[in-house]
Amino acid sequence: MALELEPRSVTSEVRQVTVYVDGDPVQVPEGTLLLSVITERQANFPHICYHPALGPIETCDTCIVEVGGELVRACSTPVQDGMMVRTKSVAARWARKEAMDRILRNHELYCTVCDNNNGNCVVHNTAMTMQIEHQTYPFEPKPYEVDDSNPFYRYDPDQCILCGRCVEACQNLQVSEVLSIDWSRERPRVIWDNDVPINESSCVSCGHCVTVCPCNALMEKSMLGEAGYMTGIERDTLRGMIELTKQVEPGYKEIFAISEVEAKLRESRIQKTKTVCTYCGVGCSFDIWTKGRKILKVEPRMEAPVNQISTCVKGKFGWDFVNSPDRLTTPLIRRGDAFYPATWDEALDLIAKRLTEIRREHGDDSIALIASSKCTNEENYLMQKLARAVLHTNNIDNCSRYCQAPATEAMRRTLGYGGDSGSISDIAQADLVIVIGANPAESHPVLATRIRRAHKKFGQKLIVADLRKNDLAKRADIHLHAKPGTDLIWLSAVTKYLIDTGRYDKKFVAERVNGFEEYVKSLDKFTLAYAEEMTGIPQAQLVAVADMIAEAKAMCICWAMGVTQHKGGTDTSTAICNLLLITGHVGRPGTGAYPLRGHNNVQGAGDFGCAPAFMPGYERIDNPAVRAKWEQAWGVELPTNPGLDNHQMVDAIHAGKVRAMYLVGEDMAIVDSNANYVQQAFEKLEFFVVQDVFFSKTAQFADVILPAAPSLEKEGTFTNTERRIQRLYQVLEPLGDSRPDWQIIQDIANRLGAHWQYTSPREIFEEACSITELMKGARYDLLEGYRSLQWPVRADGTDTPLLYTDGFPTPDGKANLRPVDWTPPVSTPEEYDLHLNNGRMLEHFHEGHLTYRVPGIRQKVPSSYVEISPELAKERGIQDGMLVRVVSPYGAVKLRAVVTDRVSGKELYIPMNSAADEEAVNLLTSSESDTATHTPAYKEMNVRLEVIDFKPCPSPIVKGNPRLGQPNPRPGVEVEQKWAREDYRPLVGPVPSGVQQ
Amino acid sequence: MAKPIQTVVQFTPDPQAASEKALLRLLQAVAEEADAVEEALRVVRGLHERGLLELTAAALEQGDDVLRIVVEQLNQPGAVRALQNLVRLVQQLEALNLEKMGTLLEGAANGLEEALAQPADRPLGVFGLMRALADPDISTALNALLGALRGMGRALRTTGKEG
Repeated sequence: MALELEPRSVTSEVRQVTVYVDGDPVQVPEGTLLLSVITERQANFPHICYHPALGPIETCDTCIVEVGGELVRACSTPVQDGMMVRTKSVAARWARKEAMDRILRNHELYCTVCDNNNGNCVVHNTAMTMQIEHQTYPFEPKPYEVDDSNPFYRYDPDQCILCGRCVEACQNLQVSEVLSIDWSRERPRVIWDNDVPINESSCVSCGHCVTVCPCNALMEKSMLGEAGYMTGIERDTLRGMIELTKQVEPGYKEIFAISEVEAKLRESRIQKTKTVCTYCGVGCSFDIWTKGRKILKVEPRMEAPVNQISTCVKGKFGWDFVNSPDRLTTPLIRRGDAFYPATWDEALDLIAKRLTEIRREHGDDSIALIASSKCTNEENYLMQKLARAVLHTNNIDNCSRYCQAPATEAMRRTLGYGGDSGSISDIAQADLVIVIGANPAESHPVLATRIRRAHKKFGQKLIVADLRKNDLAKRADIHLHAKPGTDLIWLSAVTKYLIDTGRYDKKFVAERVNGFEEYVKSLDKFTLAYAEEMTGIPQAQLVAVADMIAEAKAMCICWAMGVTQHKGGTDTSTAICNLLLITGHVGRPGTGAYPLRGHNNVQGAGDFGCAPAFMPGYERIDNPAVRAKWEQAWGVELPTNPGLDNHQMVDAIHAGKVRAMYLVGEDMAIVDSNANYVQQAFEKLEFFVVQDVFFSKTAQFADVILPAAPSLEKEGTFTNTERRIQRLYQVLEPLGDSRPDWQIIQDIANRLGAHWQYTSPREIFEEACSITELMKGARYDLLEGYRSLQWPVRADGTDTPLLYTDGFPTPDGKANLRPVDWTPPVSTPEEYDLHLNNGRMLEHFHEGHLTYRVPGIRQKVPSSYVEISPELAKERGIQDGMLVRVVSPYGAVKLRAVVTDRVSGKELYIPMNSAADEEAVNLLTSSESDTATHTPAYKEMNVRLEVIDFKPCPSPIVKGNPRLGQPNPRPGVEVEQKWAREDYRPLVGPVPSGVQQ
Repeated sequence: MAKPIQTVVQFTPDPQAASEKALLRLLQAVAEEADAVEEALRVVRGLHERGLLELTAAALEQGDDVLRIVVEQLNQPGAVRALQNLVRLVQQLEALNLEKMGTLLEGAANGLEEALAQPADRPLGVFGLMRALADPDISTALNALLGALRGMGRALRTTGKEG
């Protein structure tokens, strides 16, 4: 299964050709790599450096075959019609054996005492299937020390076979461009940046290199001394054992036999369980290897539909929090001014008693529930069912209100479905990608790899509109820096300019879109001159953007919080959809609208009904037919009062209307905008239940705290940004007395008289989907292992990776252009002279409860900070590390300064991932919100800056932070340099005469 | 009307209750596996009576040192040679076809038993030997022996040439 990253030729049909492998005819599509033709038929045919996710690297020479009297590398030879391939000729076999001998000169075989001996070591398996008995060239250590500096992985040059998989993965798949092989040395090796220790390089610890390493040269440190039965032995003793083994073993056959047995034995104590990552909305899945409660490693697999072998630092190395001593392991009840541990019965009884009392006294709508975009679909379904069917209120929402509700609303208005139009593979295939108000390299790292790869290797064009010169902005063909909050203006101006110059998809607009004329009229004022004046973007740059769009055959637009978290968030999202419709970039491969969902289940929380106006499947609660259907399915009467969203709930608490709240998995006290106002509201609640994995800031306000189990300790499904539903399996038992959220929600419902009898998430999921229209055919058996479904899922189980291919889900099947106007951003008194931007950093997630509890991550990025531009720093005399106070009309925070050109002029940036509650950026933000959806306008705030102490201090960007490194971009492994070395004797070419055939 | 608080009163776990809980869990496990546990106890008793348990405990307690010493000793030239010999011996044994050897050994044992049952009262003598050669059983056995001798001789001569 090859990685679908190359731009797919949409029209041309691929011709079938016949090749003869050892005399047998085989029909394959023209251009298929010979190696995959051979390995289809001979599973054990050797090859080491080739990896399906990376393509041919051509360094190892172990896959050589004979084609028409020439020795060629099967990995890099595309098949041609009539090709005669001999895999078993003497010359080919000799060349492969010689190649393997050269590899073993660089790699010591001590498999039985090696932590990589887990049945999947490529070097081991290849040497074994080639029946290597002895090696021609003795192993020779390299004159380099092991590099142990990175907290997550280590490099052992002595074991490195110089295949370059790691380099190819780093340069052309992850595209961090850190690793290379220095072929100029007497003994080449892999180097980081320009040869610095790993931890001082620009390495982002994504783990790609470790995952693709075919041996033990690159290993997760968590595996070392843990995976094998005999690998935890003291170093000198281990050395002695390796020497002894080498002396007494007459050949490798015996080593392989013993190590095979040992590898088999490991299977009985190492569990490998598939899970889905919770660190963003991309939805990476992978196996987690555990020994007891210890996490040995994360092993991504080619079957993973979204990420295949890709991960980021959080997904690959960020799970140690599950064993943190800070975990909540027992229910806690507030008595006086302290929390006391309680039994589940005590806690649940108290919750039922108080909720019932408050409901009786103040009515159904005096209770509000908040579900979690980190919890499973099943748990979200139960939360809204608890609200509606048991507590009889529509006061149910989730934290996607904080991020993506405007995008969802905009897409529903225009295209019909509130989800990404296609898949991440469509983004990779597009020939133009526009990224607006998003920083995928840090917020959606694996998705960003697809854009970087397409841009670097396949000439994909990239336009980035962002205040910061973030990673993708640095690489972009055009980086637009608009004045904060003015994206709608330049989007509308570019759209108008395309229409005015006749460069739009007239056929698409005529046949598939409503409202063109009215829309064109609404664009009148958005001239290029107006746009330049309002956004600060020169007209020439806007024309260049329009030209690039006009030339694109397939365009995707990705956006995130930089668009949505504004007063006009929904309208700007709508302007994006309008542009896509005008240019006809919807409903074809490589096109579409892609709001990048921030959390693992933002999509699912909405899909499964955790929003006041919508039942599961986005069925409107104010539609009597919908209500009747769900009433019948659930056997209850449903509430008709419109419910409150998160934002309205806070106001309603202040107004005394909402008296009690049940909140699951969200640290709302610091992640909601204008945190001081939210916290004051929580103080007013008569009864507050908080369910979480850690003792959060929000939990401090609770009356009852319930200990929940994180994703690794439960089953269920998540739905990622591509509408893809994926199953997670239970890796570990819940810690202490913590419980999976679905069990807790059911327990509360039953204490309130519900009589639910769900015994597994499967029953919940299948009940939910079977009632909806959107996911009617989704079942657990269709989601087994790495299988997935992208909604809509028809009753027969077929899913829809690409939306709108045959029309839009509207009454007339056409999309609707929607005129929108610009909303000026929040204004503040003049003294607040700087703009405050905020967002994520790569290493941390959300408010940081999980990732700051991962020691390696905390070591690399121990705290938050405020980014200040070099210009502003110079003007104010600020240097790295100085303590500053950032003050807004709503609050103040103290942070250390980082002077960087990622920000410019009078724009500041504070990562939202604060290590301490009192550094939370939301102490500064306001309660202003998007007019359509009430998503807080997090990105619209002005502040002033005070230097507290001019004493120079160490920068908060500490040693080990990849931002300090200097990447070393290369085209790839540069195998030509290997071939040009004096000591390299080529193995390919004409079969030497005299070789017996 | 709840002010934020961070104080969590940790119950010092009641040691007696905790150990009772652990014991109960253990008892349940033992009851479920009663047969297996009884058998395990027999094994343990045997190991204990022969002092093996004590030896193992000591070896485990000194684990790293013991392993280091063993590996050091095994890395001495003499020990390495011994191990190499052992490995070769095992390899040679692999080459023998045990099924055939089984038939041979069984036959030899039967013959031996017959011979013992009827002990010869006088020496075999040259004519007795010639008569015996005509016996098809003896002839077959001798042929096999001669074949083995031929093989050994060839091996010896080849080694001699190279040396």
